[in-house]
Amino acid sequence: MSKRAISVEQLSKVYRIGVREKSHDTIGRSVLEFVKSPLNNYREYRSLYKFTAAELSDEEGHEDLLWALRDVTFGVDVGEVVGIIGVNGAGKSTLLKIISRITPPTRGTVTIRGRVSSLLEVGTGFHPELTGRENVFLNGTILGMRKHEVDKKFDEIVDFSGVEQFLDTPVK
Amino acid sequence: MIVIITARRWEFFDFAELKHYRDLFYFLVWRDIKVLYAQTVLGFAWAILNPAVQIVVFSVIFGRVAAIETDGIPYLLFSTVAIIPWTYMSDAMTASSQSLVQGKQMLGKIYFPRVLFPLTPILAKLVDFSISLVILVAVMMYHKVELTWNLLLLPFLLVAMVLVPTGLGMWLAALAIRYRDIKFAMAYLIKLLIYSAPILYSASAIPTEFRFWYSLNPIVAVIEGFRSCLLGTPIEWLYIVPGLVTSVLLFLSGAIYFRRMERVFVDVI
Repeated sequence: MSKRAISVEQLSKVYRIGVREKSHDTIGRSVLEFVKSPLNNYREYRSLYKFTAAELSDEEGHEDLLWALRDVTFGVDVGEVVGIIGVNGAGKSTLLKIISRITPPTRGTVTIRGRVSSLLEVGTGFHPELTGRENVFLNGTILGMRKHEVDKKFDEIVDFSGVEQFLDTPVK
Repeated sequence: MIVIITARRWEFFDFAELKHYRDLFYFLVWRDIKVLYAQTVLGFAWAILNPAVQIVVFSVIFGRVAAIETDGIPYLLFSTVAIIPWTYMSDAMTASSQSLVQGKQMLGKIYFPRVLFPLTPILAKLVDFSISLVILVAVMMYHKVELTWNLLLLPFLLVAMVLVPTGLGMWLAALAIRYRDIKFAMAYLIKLLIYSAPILYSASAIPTEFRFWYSLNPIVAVIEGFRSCLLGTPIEWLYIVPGLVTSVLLFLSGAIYFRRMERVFVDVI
């Protein structure tokens, strides 16, 4: 009996995309807009993450909304290898971002058994002023490892990197 | 380990998760400390130089030129006991407020408890604070200050001194990631805040009818507390207690606000 490692249920994610602004044909209008712009900016930034119930329940008809994912459901069992294929803008990255907890879904749930680490992001936490050794520990813990886990894997990591003699030099 | 990701709007901090990430917190703080003075000649001497220059400038301008009334305390001593904790609070608050914007590379690529971003500089700046205590001790020895039992208050004041920038830092970091205005406002905020508390002048200059409102400022509590604790002047509880209450409220509200907002950080970078 195989166990579920990842199960994704009815996952949806909506983004607000930019809509072309109306241009102003008089100086007076432009000045008025300029004065009002802090308020407009505030509304715009707020609208990036606030969606009304009506916007979310209508399927179509909101030209500034982009449903990157809509009602996605699938499961991955322990030991399974799954690839996701799609054209540009199909929602592959959005899906992976939700699974790795970088961004929350608008609707739906993901249940994960185990630890998620995305290979895409190797080196994210590298800092040029830190030594190789310090960077190994920093990045290991960023990936959710505890210090003692990094200790255990340390030699393996150094062997893999093949730069043992530079371990105590800042990586820059 | 089972993780469930939902669209739920808000939940309080997951303490088990924070505990799991404590090693990361340690390395982030270590990185901040190490990187701050990297490639400088003076290194950690900057932690002494920065407040020392301020103390000298203020002592000349406010102590000599303006000759501000300090209840009989020598101005150098009067300002040093205030500027040392103030420098920590303002540095920690500024760094904390910019922490998310500076860390946005990481924010958009990998998950770990977001609150580690604003908390890291709060701890890292304590190193500078500890080093700058050298100035405090030197000035106190120069003026032959005798220690009193008031010193027992110090641990509580240190906690308050850390709580203030933590609370404000969480508020400001969560705001700054969405509104970059915060970065520009911070420069003014710090300049104004130094006058909001009895750092350069004495609290006794405040008219009695405004005392209560004045004392709600948690910075007032920390500064007044430091002064009576280190110099042995009578403890003005009316100045200290209200501010301590606000600092706790600031911390709790900051934590709640940050937690509420952290879900949208990535979508608004």
